[in-house]
Amino acid sequence: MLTLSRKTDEAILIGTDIRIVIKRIDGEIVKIGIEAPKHVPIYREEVFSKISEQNREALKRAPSASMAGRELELKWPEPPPRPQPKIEIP
Amino acid sequence: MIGLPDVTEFQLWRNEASGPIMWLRGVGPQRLSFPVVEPGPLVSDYTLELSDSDAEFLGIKSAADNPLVLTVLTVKSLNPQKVTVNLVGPVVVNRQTLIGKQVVIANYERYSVEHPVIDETGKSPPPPC
Repeated sequence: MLTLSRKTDEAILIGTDIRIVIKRIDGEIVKIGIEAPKHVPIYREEVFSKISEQNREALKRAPSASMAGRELELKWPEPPPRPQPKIEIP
Repeated sequence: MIGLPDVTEFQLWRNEASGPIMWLRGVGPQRLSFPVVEPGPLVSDYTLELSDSDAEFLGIKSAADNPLVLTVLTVKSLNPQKVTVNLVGPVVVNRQTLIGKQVVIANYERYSVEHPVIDETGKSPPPPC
C-alpha cells in the first residue's frame, strides 16, 4: 500500500478526476473531503462490507418461491400501518 | 447491488403464495435472486435519507416522487425469528424510469443491516433508536 504524509489542506489526486483533501485533523478524527465524478460511488468501508456480506448471505439462504411465506410462517403485521417509508433528501 | 457491480439489470418477481416476499432477479447467466420486502409494514418508523448523489442518480427530487423502496431479506434459518431485513442498504427504484440502486442511506447510523422482522414474542420489533 502506498503511504503518503499530508498536512491540513493538502490534497492527493487519484488519476486526474479524483481529489482527496485533508480538511481537518482533530485528535483521532480526520475530516476528509472527496471530489469525484458522480458515477464513482463513495462508501465508508465498514458499512459497504456489512451490506455486501448481507447481500451474499441473502443470496445463499434465499427461500425458494414455494417455501417462502408459508413454511417460514412469517406473520406479517397487518394491515400495513404505512404504505411507504419517509424519504428525506438533505 | 452492493458488492455485485457486474449485474446491472434486475426483474422484480412476485409470487402469490409467498405473501409479501418478492424476488429481485438478476438478468444474466448468474441467476442471482434476492428475496426482498417492502419495509413499510415491518418497521414502524423507517425514515431513509438519500444522499444528494443517490437522489440525482435515481432522478428523485423529493418524497413526492414516491420511489419504490425494497429491503433485502436474509433468512438465516427456518426459524422465523432469524429472518432479518437490511435497513441500511435499501434498494430504491424510481417508478417512472425504473432506474434503481442499492443505496447506503445517509442516516445509516440509526438502523441495522440485520433488523429482525419478528422478535421472540412473534411481534414486529420496535425500531432500534
